[in-house]
Parts: sequence; C-alpha cells; structure tokens
Amino acid sequence: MERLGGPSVKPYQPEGLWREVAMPQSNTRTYERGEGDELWRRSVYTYWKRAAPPPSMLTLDAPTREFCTIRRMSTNTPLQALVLWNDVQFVEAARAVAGRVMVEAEGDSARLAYLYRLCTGGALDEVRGGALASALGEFRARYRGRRRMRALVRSGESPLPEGVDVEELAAWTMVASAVLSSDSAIVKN
Amino acid sequence: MAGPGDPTPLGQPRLVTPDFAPKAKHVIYLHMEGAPSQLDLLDYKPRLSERFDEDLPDSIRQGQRITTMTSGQARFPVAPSKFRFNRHANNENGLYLSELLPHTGSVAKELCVINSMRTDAINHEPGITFFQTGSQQPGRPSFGSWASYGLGSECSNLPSFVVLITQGIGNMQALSARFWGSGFLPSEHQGCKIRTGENAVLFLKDPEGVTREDRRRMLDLVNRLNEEEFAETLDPEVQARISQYEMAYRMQMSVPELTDFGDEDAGTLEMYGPEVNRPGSFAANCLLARRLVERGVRFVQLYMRGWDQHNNLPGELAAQCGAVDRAQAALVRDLKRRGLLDETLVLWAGEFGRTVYSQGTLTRDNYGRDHHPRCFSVWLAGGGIKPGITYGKTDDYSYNVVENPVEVHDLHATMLHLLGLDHKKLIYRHQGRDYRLTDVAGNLVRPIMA
Repeated sequence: MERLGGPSVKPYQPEGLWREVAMPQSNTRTYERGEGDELWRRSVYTYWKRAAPPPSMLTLDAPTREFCTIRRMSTNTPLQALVLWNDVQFVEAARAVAGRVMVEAEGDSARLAYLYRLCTGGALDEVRGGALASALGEFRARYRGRRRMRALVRSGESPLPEGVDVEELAAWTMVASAVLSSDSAIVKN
Repeated sequence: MAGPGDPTPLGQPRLVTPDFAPKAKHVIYLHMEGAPSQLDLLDYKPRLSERFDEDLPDSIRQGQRITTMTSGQARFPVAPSKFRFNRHANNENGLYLSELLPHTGSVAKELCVINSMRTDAINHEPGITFFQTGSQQPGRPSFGSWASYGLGSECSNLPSFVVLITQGIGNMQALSARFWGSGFLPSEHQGCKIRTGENAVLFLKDPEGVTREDRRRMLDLVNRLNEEEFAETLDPEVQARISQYEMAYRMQMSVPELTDFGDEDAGTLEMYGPEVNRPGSFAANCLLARRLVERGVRFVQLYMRGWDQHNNLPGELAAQCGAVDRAQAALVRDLKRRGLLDETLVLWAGEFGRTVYSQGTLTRDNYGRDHHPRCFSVWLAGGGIKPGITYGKTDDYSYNVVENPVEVHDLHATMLHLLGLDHKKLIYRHQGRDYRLTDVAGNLVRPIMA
C-alpha cells in the first residue's frame, strides 16, 4: 500500500484469540477481520488490543507497549519460524513477491536476482544463486501437475496476477518463502 | 558454567546450574481466575453458621478498604457457607474440605493447604498481575518467564513455558497476554499458548498445498542461505537461527503428538473424567499439563476462568468445582504414580479471596461475595512441599490472618527456592536497575518445605 495515514486495520489473525481472553460483555470480544487493502497495510496501522496483541508481532519481538523501550529486543525462537512459514500474511507475501518478479522480470536468473534484491536489499551472488536455481527446479518438479499447488497459491485474499502460470507461481512461491524466512531478509545488520 | 543471561548455545536446550540442589524441576500453576471463595472451599469456619445475617463487626473489618461494588451497601451481613465440610485424613489432624471437592479430598495426604495467603491487590487485573509477576504494575516478567530464564530448558522440541486456558462456567474476567509475557526478559521466555486442535501452537500447520517433503526442501534452502550468511558474518545468531528453524520443524511433528491423547490408557482417561475428551476443558488441560512436564517443559500455567462469584455464588461455585475437582485430584494422583510428583511443584491459587459478608441479598441458600485481599487459601503439592499439612490461620470470620501470614512474594521466594534458585540472586538489570520476581521482599516459608 502506498497510501499514508488512516484508521487502524485488522489484518489476518487466527480464530478465537480475542474470545478466549475477553469478558463476555467486552466490545472487543470478537475479532472482525478487515477487507481488501486493510489486510496489507504496514503493521504500524494494525489494531492493538492490549489483552491480546497481534500474535505474529508478539512472536517477532514487538514490545508489549507497557514500558518504555529504548532498544527493541531481538530473539531467535522456533515460533518465529512458524510465523514466517505459515502465517497467511507471510505466505501471501511470498506468493505476491513471486508473482511480481514473474511479471516484472524475464528469465530465471534475472527473476531470482530481482527476488533476492526485493527481499534482502542485496545482490545475489553465485553460491546463493545456484542454491535458489536448483531449489526452483526441484519445486517445479514437485508441483508439476499436482492439485495441491492450487491451494498454495490461493493463500490470502489478494487476486492472482493475470496471465501467470499457476504451477510456476507455486514453485516460485516456495522459493520466495525461503528467501523471506532467511536471516538476511528478516534481520537488519 | 552457564549463568542466566548467557545466550542459548546454538538453539540447544539451555540448562543453567541452579544456586543449590533443586527439589522441583517443573511447575504446574493452576490459576483459578476470578478468585474462588476460601470460605466455601478450603477455610473451614463451622461456627459462622450461628452468626448468619449478623453485621460484620467493625473490630474485624478494621476500616478496611472495600471495592465500590459493595462499599455502597447499607449493611455487611455475615454469610456462612451453605456447604458442608468433610474431614479427609492428611498427615496431621485431618483436612476439612467443602463437599464440593470430594475428589480433591481423596488426595489430601499430598496437599499443603495455606489458609493465610495475603495480597495487596483488591481487583482482578492488578491482583493477577501481582501474583504472576510480583508487581501490580504491568510489564514485569511472568513467574514462568523467570523460571525459564533462570533454569533454562530441558526440552529440545517444546517451549519451556507453556500456557493453557480453560473457559469457565461462571462470571469471567478478562485475561491478558501480559500475564504470561516475558517483560524485559528476552522473549524466548514468554509463555507459549498451546491450544487444542490443528493449530495447537499458533501457525504450527503448514499452509494447504505444502507437504512435509515440500517443507523439508524449503527448509534446506533456507539453511543453505543462512549457512552462507554465517560463513560471511560469523554471527552466532545466524547459527542459532538454523537450529531454531530445525526445532520448529520438529515441533510440527511433536506438538500434534503431544495433544493427541490416543496413547493414554483407558484407566488414566477415566481418572480425569469424561470431560477429558472435550478439548480445552479443565480436565483435558490437566492431562496436557502432565504430558508437558513429562516431556521436560519447565513451567505450565493453566488458567481456569470463571470464579468471580459476586452473585449467586452457591450455584456457580458448584458448577466450577464440578469442572475442576475430579481432574485436579487426578492430576496429583497421576503425577504421583508416574514418579513425577517429587519433581513437579503444583500450585492451585486464585488472585485473592472473597468476603465473609454477602454482596447483595443474603439467604441461607444464596448469597454473593466481593473481593477480599486480606486472607485467602491456596494449595500446593509435590516438588519439595511438605505433604498433608495445613498452614496458617484466619480469624473466626476468615477476614484477617491471625497466624503465619504468607505474602505473595513469600510464596514466590519459596517456590523459586524449591526450584533451586535463590530469589535474591535471580536478577535482571533493566533500565539501570536490578529487578527480581520478589522485588525487595520475600521470605522463605520454611515450615511448608519438606
């Protein structure tokens, strides 16, 4: 989203997290997920319920806003991996960036370099490029002719890019998800 | 020797040498959220019956602050418990328990009942925050986080501090993620909520269309990228990430196995009662708690909601007790027969007690009770606790402690001690000063230690 400002939004969140902690008469007892653009805004716009903050943000070391924080804590936990791999917000992001490089670049090596730069801000070197290319080949083989790849590319509410081959998009989504989960994508050094 | 605060070496379970030989390795903390009535469950006051509907004497109330829910009442009439108490053999002169807790009575020989707990807070939010973090102000690390930080993990495929939540039957107060937050401690020590069903841990399940082999191949690629990153930066955090990701992959297998009771024998399930088959019930969560400590999880925090009985207490209390009695007794018995009770400290506690005077209309059979911080009852079992005793006394009205008061910080200090930790040494420096779970208080309650 390029738009600046606006009210808080309620992006994807697993079912029931508000209900299990709320008082029966609470006016934030049920989480009502937003629609369309509200799902993809920067997290600074995400609605914050103090009794049940957004779970992926808590897992990724967001301070709870109950005391002053000079430096954000940075930890390393298995639960973070699960968020990055499986939270629909991240799966959809992987699919979206995969779709974007397929539309905006031509040929595997240009696309992989573009993907890597979009996710990490860095240039793709030969060793990493080789790893990505060979994984891409494997995922192509794994998804070719398989029905399950349709389920994967349907993660999230955003429409699929037009004219993109779905099998190919599924393979690229897995590669993009791996890059987005890698240390150089998530840690600012 | 590793000390608190050392980084986890490469994502391996981090074990810290305790200050002295621990009695307990695990804690199961059964928090009764809303504050159960000590007068109707654990603090036997047979003579109160003679004082039905009398005004609470000023000599007892002593001008004590009460909540605005009852401060406007014209009278404070004494409400004796309508429930009968039964004597159960323990290792002293017997334990008197409400007729609502027959199963709990059957494990009386294992229990240490404290009738002289006190707290500073008079409302739920600060009360629970105080009990969980040692401070009424939110933002401090939870007890479980301190235990995880101080002792490290014994388990390579589950978090060291796990939170379970059961919805109650009666009036429910809000829960807050801060109760199990790690505050200023590293967030790897925050409580991890385990739920029932497919996503027992949030985001555990792979997206549709991703098989285990797909995930393996994807993780191999992530590892290749991270190994390359490590080779260039030699940053140990990158190496730690590689092992944490592998642990996530293992958790995707170990958690479903954890929450599947299929391998429990019929006798065990029967002991916890029929509710054990209903995911999220107190019985199911008690069994889950045992399975967690069996696997080496350090601290299990189970919340049972719904004890806030301002009105219609007898009916609601009976329903709540019906939901917990059999299962909590089964938990103690189950731990015992598996040899786990010796190393597992069980605490059953609400955040405060309830008033002897009735909130609202009083009859022999129906009444309500307001919040009461000056005395309440909790019980402990296992893990270095002296079994089969009662400790502390209240006055004839169960209003003030008259013998052996136990403050929340005293209980925390004692429990940390049983875990092998000196509460005065378990310190974390934050914003320029040292913090402890027990702040600047806490005395060991030696008479309740075995």
